[in-house]
This record gives sequence, structure tokens and C-alpha cells, in this order.
Amino acid sequence: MKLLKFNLHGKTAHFKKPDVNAYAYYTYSHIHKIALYGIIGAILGLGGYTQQQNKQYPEFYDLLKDVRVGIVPIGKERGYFSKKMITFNNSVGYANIGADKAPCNLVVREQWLEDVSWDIYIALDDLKDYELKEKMIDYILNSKAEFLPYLGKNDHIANICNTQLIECEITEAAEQIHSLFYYDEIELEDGAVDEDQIPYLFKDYMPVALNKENNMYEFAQIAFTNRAIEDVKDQTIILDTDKYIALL
Amino acid sequence: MIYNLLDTFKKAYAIKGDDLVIENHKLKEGLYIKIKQDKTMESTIITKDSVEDDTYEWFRKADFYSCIINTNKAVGDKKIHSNNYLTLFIKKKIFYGDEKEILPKEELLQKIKKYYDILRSDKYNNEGIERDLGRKIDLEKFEYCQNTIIEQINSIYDIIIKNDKAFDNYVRVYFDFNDWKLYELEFNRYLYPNVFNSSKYNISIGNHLYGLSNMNMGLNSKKPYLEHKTLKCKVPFHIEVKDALLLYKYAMWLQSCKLGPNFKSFDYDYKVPLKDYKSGETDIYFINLRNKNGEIEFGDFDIIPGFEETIDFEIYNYIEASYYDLSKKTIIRPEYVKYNSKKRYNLLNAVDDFLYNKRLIQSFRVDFKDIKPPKWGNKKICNLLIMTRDVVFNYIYKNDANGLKAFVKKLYKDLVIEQIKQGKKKGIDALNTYIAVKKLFQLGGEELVKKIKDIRNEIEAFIEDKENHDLEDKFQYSFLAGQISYYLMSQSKAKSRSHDVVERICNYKNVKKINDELKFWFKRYGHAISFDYAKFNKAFSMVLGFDKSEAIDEDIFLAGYLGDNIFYKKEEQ
Repeated sequence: MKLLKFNLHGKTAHFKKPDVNAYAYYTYSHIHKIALYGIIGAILGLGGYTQQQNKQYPEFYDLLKDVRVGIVPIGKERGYFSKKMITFNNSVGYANIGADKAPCNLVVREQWLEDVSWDIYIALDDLKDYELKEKMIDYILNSKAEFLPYLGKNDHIANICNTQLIECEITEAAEQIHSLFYYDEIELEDGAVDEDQIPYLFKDYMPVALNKENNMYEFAQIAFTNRAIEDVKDQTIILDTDKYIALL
Repeated sequence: MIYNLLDTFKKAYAIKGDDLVIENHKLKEGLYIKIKQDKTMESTIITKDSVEDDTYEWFRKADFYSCIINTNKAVGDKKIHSNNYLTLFIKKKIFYGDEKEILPKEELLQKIKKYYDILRSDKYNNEGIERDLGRKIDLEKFEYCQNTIIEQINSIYDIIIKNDKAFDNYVRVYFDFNDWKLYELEFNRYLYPNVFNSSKYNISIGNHLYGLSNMNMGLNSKKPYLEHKTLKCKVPFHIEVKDALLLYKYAMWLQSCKLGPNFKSFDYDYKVPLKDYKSGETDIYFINLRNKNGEIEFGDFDIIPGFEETIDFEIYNYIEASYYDLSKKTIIRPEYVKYNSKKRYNLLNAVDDFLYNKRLIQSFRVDFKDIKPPKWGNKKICNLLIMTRDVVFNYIYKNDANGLKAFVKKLYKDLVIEQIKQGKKKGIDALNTYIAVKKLFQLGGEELVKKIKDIRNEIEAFIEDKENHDLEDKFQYSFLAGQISYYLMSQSKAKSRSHDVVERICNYKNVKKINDELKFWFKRYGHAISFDYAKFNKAFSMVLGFDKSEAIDEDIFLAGYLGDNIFYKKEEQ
């Protein structure tokens, strides 16, 4: 299986959770599939939400939605990136209307991730459009981009490095998964693979698709763990040297 | 995050149903009247201290099914706070008493009539609702309740007047048909059109109704940027009506949680009173609950994998210090037993008590802008508190040590110095805590403790020895300089002596400057030191003889300053 692999990192990031907006905007703990498609779409110059008009999906999602991706949190304990609450003003004037009906500041609180880094795998075989595939390989390997890629919002510049084309085998005999995976598709044992470690499990409802009717996120439980695997149901796993990567 | 929380709530709800929420529902203060089927009335007064007996439980259950979500979602008039034809909640001041708010009986009766009219109207009885509920409104009972209330309004007035002195706040009337299903049905009839944030955003997909959730979510025309501006659908989030109903109940359940930081394990068992976290549970949701106008607001949310309750934190008297206790008139060697049970909250309590003057935990509930002198300490302490508050919070509640580690290296010494300035006892506790934290994060604490011990022995040996010795390195110098500066300062006969010198010496970047400072104090207090005090003379010459343009080791200097002084055989006041 042919894959494009690169490291995606940045000083800060914010992937907005849409379900709460009262006190603060919260962020997903990791980059999710749709945001990743968006980054690739920006690099390739594909149309986004603004260019969507009456089409069912924005162009980037329409073209990339069948491409499976692997996401591996790098470098931090337990796959946890520090979070910090940031308060800032939106002072453009049309964001908020005050008691006297005059434009005023909007105070925004946002939860930011700090020092994020993921290894990203893109399953090229899933991309049927040959030209687009060649363009993606060319742009990513040669550090080209139509638009600046960013991590969730344009406050957070995305860095892409260590780009490479790799060939991996699909495997069924994984004892641990080093990437994010669909929680419902994997049965876990209670203990960690490395018996000295304390077992941990991260799981969250993260966006995995846009729905047809109004492009709202569709959610699935995505997990990350050091626990050993008992059984794999419906989840593609590939082996990259010594790491088992689940493709979302 | 809503789905995460709802997920575990659903499991518990499947087992216990509405009782899950009812058993934690608190009745508001007021006069509670039950109208039985024979139209006799039974009244009870509920106060904050009411015992939760059978009567209380009956009212609690009926009350749970009958509260409105908020006054903006009142059935008709905002003065009536019940949600179905089986109940009527009105504030006492509208019946009786307060001249500004009181309504004449006729006006009140009109409002009540209107209330019943709306409950019967299409808003609550359209096809969609009837299909989902599976039952139409029971008109016979409806009429009975409406008529009884209007007939009996005078008796209700009588009860209020009779009990006027005994209660405050609400008058709440309930009909008892001995049928909780009926209450539940009418509750759901109210919720269907009201459970979403606004019915403006409702859509149907397939056979299911979706709308904007009402928990920690707001959209209003005055804040256009709460909408998602570039997306096809400007509404940020849609939730199915069944989930929305559960979410409302979950929000009610959350009311019974304590405000502030809360932990919920992935499989939370929904027991109240809440435990901070189940022992042994390592994967948890963290929520910081705030109160906003009586509703629960999330001040923070996080998913924490691998949370450990036990940490390797212990405090001992690392610097071998003691102090004189004025009230007990004796010398005390500090002990820290109560901080040494190796739990995460021990660390929080220790830094709160010894480094932050008990202001840290308090500050978790306060906005940064409200942390200012003099209430929160001097300007420097306020600055340090603002800079370090969140990183301590993240370590204690989220097991995220990255920020705290960096700040311990950078800023914690300043906290210790601020404490020393407030007195020797505080200084000793602060320095021991600081060293303990350094040990925990492996920032050289272990080595520091060993070094302090070794240097003390070395210096003592040097001074006892007849031969002359030179100080070998800056660590020995730092320790002895600390000892000498404390000894010199303690010669002062002034009424209030201060430890400000510590900050000054720590700010000097080289040995020469410090020696100048020590000479200055020697000139000032030298008269009090005996000409023949050989120990001191020798030590002072050793310090002045150490002439290198090196920076001192501040930690060891502080340990030398606060630790038992070799120039005193016995610690003095």
C-alpha cells in the first residue's frame, strides 16, 4: 500500500468543538479527519466552504472524503497536548452589538493546544483522481502550497516536515496501535503492552464525516491508548517499520 | 463534549430513569400545597433546612416534572413558573405582601386562565407532539384542574395569609391524581417545543427532529459571530430531540454537583455526593463547573488519559532548620506529616499553604482581572499568582506537568523569597516545599538535598579545624554566605527586623558584590559580635577570601540563610 507520510506540527492549534459556545470555545485534543482534509485542500488549492455555494459538499471534502488517513500523536506523554485558555478581543465592530445598539468588542475565550505534533499518513491508493494524486505528492514532497496551511484557525501556522513516500503492508496481527483509531472497531485488553507502564485510554467523539443534508459533522468515537489489543473488528491497520497505524 | 457526557448519563438513565435526577432535586423555599382528589388541601412549608421525609419526596418528584426551563421559556406569562395543568407556581409576593409586585385577584385569575388556554392550545397539542408522546391531553382532568384552581383561589389566599410569617419565595400548588405517568407525560408535552435553544433552528432529517441544543449554547442576533459564518449551515450544532430531552435532565442533574473542578470517569456511576474520582480510575473527563444565573456553565473541559491520584511528593525539613515559636515559647523543628500521604491534593495544599499564603485554591474561582493588590498580597505576589495559577491547576487536575515544571525552574524561587520576607517560619516552610517540588519533578531536588547536607558537614569541619581552609567552590561559598548574613542580620536590635536582604543578595550576580554587602552589614552590627569569636572570624575571612566573579547558587544560599546557624549553639529568637 502506497502512503504519503509527513510530520505536521505547530506551536499552537485550535480545532473547534461545535457543541458548546457559552463560556469558551473548546478544542479537540487532536487534529481530526475533516481538519486534515482541509489542510491538504489548502495546500492543493481546492475550494473551501466559502466557494461551496449550492453544491452538496465543499470541493476539498468532495474530492478527499474517501481517502483514509492515519494520525499519530508524537512526542508527548499519553498522547496528551497541554491546553491553555486564551482570552482575546474580536474588535472588528460587526461581531457584537452592545446594550446601546452600537458595535462593540466581542470577548472570545478559546482553549488552545500547545506544541502539537502528529505524524500523518495518507493512503494514496484511495485517491482515484490520478492528476490530483500526482499534484499532492509533488506539492507535499517539494514543500509547495497554494494557500498557507494552518491548524484549525489562521492564528496557528502549520509546519510540515519529514515528508516521504512509503510502502506499507496491511497487517492483522497488531498487538498495539500507535495511532488514533475507531474505538468501536477494536477490543482492548485491560493492561498496557509494556507492563511497566500505567495503561491509559483517550477517547472522544470526533468528526469523521460531513452529513449530506447540511454539512454538519458526523461523529465517531476516536481513541488512543497504550493498552494491548484483543481483537480487531473492522479497522485497517498498516505496519510502518515497527509502528502499527490504524487508517481512519 | 456533550456526547461524551451524555454517553455515560444515558447508561445510568437506562437503569434508574428520572429517579436519577429526582433524588438530587432540591425544592425551592416556599409554601407547598397538595390538592387531593376530594379537593381537600394539604400544605407544607419548605425551608432550606427541611427534612427529606415522605412529604418532601412527594413534592420533590412532582416539582421535578413541573419546573420551567427558565422564565424566557415560561408557558405563557413570565409570572407563572409551572409547566403543566397539574401545577401552578407563583411567587408569594404576587399574591400578598409586596406592594410593588402584588396583583389584584381578578388580574391574577386572568393570567391563570390564559396559562390554561395556552396549555390547551396548538403549541402543546399539535400532531407531531401527540405522535411522539403517544397520548392526547386528558381534557377531563384538564378541566377539573383549571376549575378547581379558580374555585379554590380564595382558600389558597387564606392559607397564604395564615402562614404569611412562616415562608418566603414561592407558592406552589400540585394536584395529586396518584399517577406519576401523568406528570411525566405533561412534562414531556412542555419540553418538546421548549427543549431546544430556539425552535427557529429546528429541522427534520428523515423522521427525526433536530434542533440547537440548549446546554452551554447560545445564538442571538446581537452576537452574530456565534454563528458559523462560512459554513453552509450557520447553526453550530444540531441534536436530536430525544438527546435534547436527556441533555436537559443531565443539566438538572449537574445542578447537584459542587461548583469548581469535577472529575467524571468514563463510566461514572452517578452517585451523589460526588467523589472527586474513583480510586484506581485513570481515564477521566474533567469539568470545571461555574454558576451563571442559576445555570451550570462549563468553565473548562478536558479528557485526561492516564490520571494518577498518587504522586511521589513528600516534604521533609530538608534544610535542617528550626524556629522559635513565640506562643509556645519553644524552638520548633517543622514537620510536614499531613502533606506526606503522597496524594496529588497534598501537593496542592502544600504549595497553597506555604508558597501562596492560602490564596491559590481561592484564586481558581476568580477571574484574573480581579486578582490585584492589596487584597491578594503585594504586586509581586499578585503577578506570580497570575502567572503560575493555571499551570498548578493543570498539574493537579489534568496531570499535565509541562507548564508547572518550567515555572518551578523559573519563578518558584521568587515565591520562596516573598515568603522569607514575611518571616523565618514561612521562609523555612516555603523553602522545604520548593525543594520537595523540585524533587518531584526531578529538577535537581535530590542532588540539592544531598549537597546541603554535605556542605553543612564540610563547613563545620573547616571551622572546627585548627588549620586554615579555603572555600572550594561556589556552593560552599553560597551556604556560608547565607549563614553569615543571617547571623549578622540577627544582631540587629531593631524592633522589627526584615529579611529583605535575602532578595538583594539573590539579585547580585557575583561574589564580589555580595562580599561588599556583607561588609556593609558587618560594619553596622560588628559591635555586637565578640572580638574573640574565633568561629565567626574564621568563617568571615573564608567568605571574603573567596574572590571569584561567579554567580552564587541561590538555592543553597537560601538553605544556608534559613538552616540552623552554626554560629549559634542554640537557636535564639
